Amino acid sequence: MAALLRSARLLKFSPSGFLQRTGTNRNGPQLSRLYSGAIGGKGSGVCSRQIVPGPYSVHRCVWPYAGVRHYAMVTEQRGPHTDESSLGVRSKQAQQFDWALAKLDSSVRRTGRITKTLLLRIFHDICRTGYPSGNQALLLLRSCGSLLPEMPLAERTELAHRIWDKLQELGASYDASHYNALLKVYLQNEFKFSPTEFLAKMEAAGVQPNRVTFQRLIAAYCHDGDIEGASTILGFMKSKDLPITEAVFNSLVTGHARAGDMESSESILQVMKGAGIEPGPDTYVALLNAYAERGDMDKIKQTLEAVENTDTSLMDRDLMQVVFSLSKAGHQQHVPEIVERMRHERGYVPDAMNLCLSLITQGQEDTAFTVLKTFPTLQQETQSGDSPTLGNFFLRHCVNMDKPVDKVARYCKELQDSSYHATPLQFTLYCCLEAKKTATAVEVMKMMKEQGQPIRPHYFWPLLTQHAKDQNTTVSAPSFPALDLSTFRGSLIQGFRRSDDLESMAKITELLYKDERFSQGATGSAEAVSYFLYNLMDSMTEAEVQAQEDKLRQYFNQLKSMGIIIPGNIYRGIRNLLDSYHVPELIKDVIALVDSQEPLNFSDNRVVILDGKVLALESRLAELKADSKPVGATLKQLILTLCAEEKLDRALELKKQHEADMVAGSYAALIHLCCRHDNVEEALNLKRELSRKDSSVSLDSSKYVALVKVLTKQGRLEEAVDMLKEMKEKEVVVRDTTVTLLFHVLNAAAMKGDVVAVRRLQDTIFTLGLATPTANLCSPLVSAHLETKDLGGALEAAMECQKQYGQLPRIHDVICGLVERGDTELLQKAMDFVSQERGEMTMLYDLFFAFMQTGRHREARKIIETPGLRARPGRLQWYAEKCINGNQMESLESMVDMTAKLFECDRDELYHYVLRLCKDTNDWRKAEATWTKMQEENVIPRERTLRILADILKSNGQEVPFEVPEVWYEQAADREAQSETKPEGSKGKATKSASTQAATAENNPADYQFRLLTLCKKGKAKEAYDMLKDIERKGVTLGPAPYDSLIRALLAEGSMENAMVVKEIAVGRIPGFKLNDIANSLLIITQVKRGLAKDGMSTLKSMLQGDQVPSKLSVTRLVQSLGSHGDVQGIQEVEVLMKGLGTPLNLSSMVFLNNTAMAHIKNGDLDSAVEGLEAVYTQGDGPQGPAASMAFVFRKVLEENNGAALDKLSAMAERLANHFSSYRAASDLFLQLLEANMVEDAKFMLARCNAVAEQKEILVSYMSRLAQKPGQVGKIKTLMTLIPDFTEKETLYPYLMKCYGVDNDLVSAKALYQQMQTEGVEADELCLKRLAVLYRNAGETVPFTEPPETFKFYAEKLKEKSKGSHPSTAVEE
Amino acid sequence: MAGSSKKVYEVFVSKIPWTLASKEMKDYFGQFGQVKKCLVPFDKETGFHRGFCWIGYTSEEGLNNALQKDPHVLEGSTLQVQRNRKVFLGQKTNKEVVETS
Repeated sequence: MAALLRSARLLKFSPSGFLQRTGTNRNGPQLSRLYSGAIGGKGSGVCSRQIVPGPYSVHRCVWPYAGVRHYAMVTEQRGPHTDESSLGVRSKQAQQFDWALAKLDSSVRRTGRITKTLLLRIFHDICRTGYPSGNQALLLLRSCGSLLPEMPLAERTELAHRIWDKLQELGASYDASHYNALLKVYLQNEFKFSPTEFLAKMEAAGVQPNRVTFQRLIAAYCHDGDIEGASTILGFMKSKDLPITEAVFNSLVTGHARAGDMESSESILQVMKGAGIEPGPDTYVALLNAYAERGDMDKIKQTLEAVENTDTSLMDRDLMQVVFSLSKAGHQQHVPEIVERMRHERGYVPDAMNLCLSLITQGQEDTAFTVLKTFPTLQQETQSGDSPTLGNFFLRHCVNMDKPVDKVARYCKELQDSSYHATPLQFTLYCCLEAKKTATAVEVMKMMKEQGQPIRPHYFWPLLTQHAKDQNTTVSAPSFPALDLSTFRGSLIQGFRRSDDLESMAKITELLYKDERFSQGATGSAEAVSYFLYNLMDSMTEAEVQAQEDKLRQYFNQLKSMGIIIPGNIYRGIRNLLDSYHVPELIKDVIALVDSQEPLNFSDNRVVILDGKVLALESRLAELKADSKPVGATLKQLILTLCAEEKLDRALELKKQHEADMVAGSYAALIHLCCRHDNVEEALNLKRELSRKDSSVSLDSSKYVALVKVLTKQGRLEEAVDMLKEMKEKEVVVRDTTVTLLFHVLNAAAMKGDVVAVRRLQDTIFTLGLATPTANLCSPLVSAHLETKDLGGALEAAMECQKQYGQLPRIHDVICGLVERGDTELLQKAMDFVSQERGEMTMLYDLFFAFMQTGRHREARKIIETPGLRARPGRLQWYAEKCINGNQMESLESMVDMTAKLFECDRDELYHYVLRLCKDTNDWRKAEATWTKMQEENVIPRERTLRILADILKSNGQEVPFEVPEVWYEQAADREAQSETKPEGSKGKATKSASTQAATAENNPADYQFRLLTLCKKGKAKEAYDMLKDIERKGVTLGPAPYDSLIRALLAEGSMENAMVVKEIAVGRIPGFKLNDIANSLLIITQVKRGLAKDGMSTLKSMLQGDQVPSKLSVTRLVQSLGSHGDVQGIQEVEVLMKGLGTPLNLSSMVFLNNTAMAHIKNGDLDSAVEGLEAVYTQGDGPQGPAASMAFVFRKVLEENNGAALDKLSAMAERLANHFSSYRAASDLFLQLLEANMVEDAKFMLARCNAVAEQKEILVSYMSRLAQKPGQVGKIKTLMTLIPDFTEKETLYPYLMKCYGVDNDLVSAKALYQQMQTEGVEADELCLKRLAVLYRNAGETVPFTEPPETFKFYAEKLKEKSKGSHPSTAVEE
Repeated sequence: MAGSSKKVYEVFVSKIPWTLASKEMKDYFGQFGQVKKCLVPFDKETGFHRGFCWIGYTSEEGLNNALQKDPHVLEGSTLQVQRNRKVFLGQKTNKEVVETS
């Protein structure tokens, strides 16, 4: 193992320098670098860690008077924040934080530093917007330390103070994290202050210092060599039981050394070991710095050698600190020796640049020049063919820092002589001109002249231009609850997922149901237990549910027997979960728990309550049999029902009795049931029987797979293989669900360790092309070996999969097994293989996670600290989620700890994982400690991190010690809007911010998703479609929701082809993706619209097969289409299908009747049409009332101008009216005639059937329908002339008024109002309101008082009123 | 104006180091043909030129000569020279447009 570790450690990744990577660096999360502690640890070479670097006091000033002011007003200043800050400001703020962060981050990412100009610009921007948030303040404060190597230390601190004051003035509230950040800045800037006063200020502001605060105060004391002061704080920490961390010891190393006591300093390392803390790199760096300050090269060398023999290793960055210390203590002669030891790791150049800049800033330019000359990769820059220009940054900073001209000239000469730089003097001049340093510029020009270089007139222009505006940038600007149900539930779920003890599980659930302690007040215990069940299902993964299907079934059944009931809405939730887990078989066990009293008006109830259904069907079957009527359909239904109830014997018996009436569907259901009951013989018999009956019928894939499964289970492998072959031969459609089923077959065999079976089946499946080899499908082969503890075989199998199919299934588990067993040989083999196939990085991560998983944290740390390794957010997330799911806090924490220095690791993200687990376990102490740790590491939290932290603290009754950012859901929408329409002012900034956001949106599925959904919602389906195609080209996978929405949006537009393209994409991206009920219904409508009734029919059928419920409209449209195609049989088929549906769609049977009639008419069979319709009205059991309208048929016939049909139908209507006193048909016809403007015909109709005039209800409802649409008033008038008194004026006039309102006809409305007044008909408020609106629209003054309320209000009022008197004339608005 | 009716043969030069200005450019590009126009825009704020310029030749020959040479190295810097595609909408051109219309 050790050898392996060493080999991993020695791996050198291509040392492509930091600078070259900037362009291609798009894999990591955009903002990671700054969060990653880059500010403190990575970016700056010099003062990054908790140690105090070498320099002694340049200027000793105690905490200045200004400082006193700083802290005084914290508590009072919260005001403007909470009350006035508008939503806009807040959401803008969140955006701005992202923007500022991205800005600073990109700077740190590229260069490891921030320029003063950039920082000030962001500061001003934040001030201008007002209401700075807590994390903005933190961001700015954190940037005032060693990230500004170009700024003198005192200026940095001054800037920090300025920011502190200004933001406080603007209402930022400071918490411990801000004070700690300020402390860090003090330490990095070597600012002298009084720790006791600092504490006093914190106290005055009501902010509690925490561990990090104390640590940093100790560092401050040690910085001055004040061991006594440090000890006081240390004592205080101990009294508070705060842990003493490595950082404290490191400070003490420095402290003793600064106090002149090297012996004590050295002895700290022993003390640490005694306390169980291993000295880390920082400890050694502290010690090395101590020696460096003394110029003790021998000790330095000794220490470096000693370090090499430990686990720790020092990076270039660490050595740079030693260089810095040596130089500042005046021992620069030793610098070259240290510089030689540098390994020029990745990131060396920016680090070394920052070292140089810091050295120059702090008066050590000679040392800086020594370092500059060692820059390795600089040579590469000259490849462009231009003259070399190395050290530009050095010269520029020398000029900016006003270094003596002769010194700069010396550097120039040396650079030129050693061909580092072709024109150093020219460049120096450029810098002087740029910075408008006239005197220096003139000096440099003189030198150039001496060297014979030309001095051109335009060189003076920059000096002559009006000085840019004054650069002086003054700123304008409880304890634990008795029994917390949610926690309890959480741990119960944890237990249940692992437990096999069904008995106790059921008992506990029962307790939960019956014990009142668990029911919280009003919600009731049924609620509690159902939520528990829901959460249990929700918390289980798909694989878990599938694996424990039987266990769960028994569990549910036990609950049922205990009388536990769950509400319908929870059932639906659980059903959806089970659906998504592909275990619909369990649904019926859950539905059994639903309260039978509860009306199950599920909109898409696909599972029928079975109680009593069998009985009803059986008796119906007997009846039919007795009447010698065909029983096929009923028999099938009965068998299906029995199958659903798992009553195999009864079903088989039934089959025997009615052998002749069996249809294919019944056989299929029986076969499936037999397979489920492991009755393979019977299943095969049935199958043979079926094919004897009808050889053209083939089973669907799920039945085949069920057969394969049961055959495999019983060891009849060859038959199983034959079954797969038959599937292929018969071209059975293989869906995504089939693939999942196949996986379960394989996995079931694997769980038994049956390698042979798995291999045989897998090979067959892949060679036949039944499924493509995915990692998932390949994994059972490995699982089978793992199950038998055959790690070698497992590894071989995985390697084989990689070679054959490019998949490396379960490699993590294999490696874990090997690590656990300590089989170095095989492990080496595995690592070599992974490395060769997937690259070293993947291999290292695999190894890292294996060590983590097996608790070998020391080894894991070595791996993750391999130089050159960079963060892979996806893989880190994978492991973090694993830890969160498995409640493994220790493992998660150590991963977070180990990755602290991992290149490009998003620290906030990782801490967020820890907090998520804290939330799951409701561990506020751990959460609080995590927050402290984040401060220690100088991580600036994202808002969501603060929010989750606040949640945990709040829910445990703890005070939240910081300001909680609020959630603004509009934020995203705002952002969208902003990028579309840039605000007028501050254009430059807006553009920048928009482009930054656009950049963040790149490759971010969530963002795509959001944009897609927005487009769909806005009805821009085409745009969305184009966008999706774009996304698809980029290879991004979205969630099912956007695909679904887009398909629906496209279908709504009728773009069926595009919708199908999207569906294909979705299916390719998301295994198991299916169109949902709504989308399929839309599809049917679209197909019907295109005249593809047959296609619509098959869509409907496949929907029903998939247990989906079509929309009412889609069925209606389909039936209409079938009718217009004359497809009588089709309509009947649909009708039967609809009747078989669990819940009726409430489709009027008239839909079928009318359209059947239409179909007959289309086919020229008028007699059948009439016969069918007439039966509706003559037989008592047909639909009655307003539902029984055949207006549709009349309208169609009139539209088609089918005189023959019209004659027949009108004869029928008259016959019905005159002989059967059924006036519906006659009324319908009469109204349709009116509608078709055939007034004369209508008149005749009326004459022949006087009773039509008395159908007040039908006539009024016709009128009310007319009044909805504009331009219909004429028809009402006609109706009035034909039947003058068809209703009362009180009813008529309001409708007329409504018509005029809709038509915007003020003149008629006025006349009507007049008429009403003269006739003494009182105008109700709704009428007056309508009239008033007409007046207003015409720009006239309303001659009466307009009713003040809304239309709706008056409509409701009238409705209420009319309810009592005449219900039929409800006012419709 | 004299040039308004005649065609101008222009090249666009970029990557000009700050040390070179109008005079140097005219001298250098004069070797390929007679330079009628040399425009080096300066930035009023900084006092430095913007790193590019336009050279107008009186004849197509001058233009072609200039384009044929590659690379153009001047005082150690490689200049980028290309046929001018966009008409420079500076003062001069504007004036011409105004006067002819």
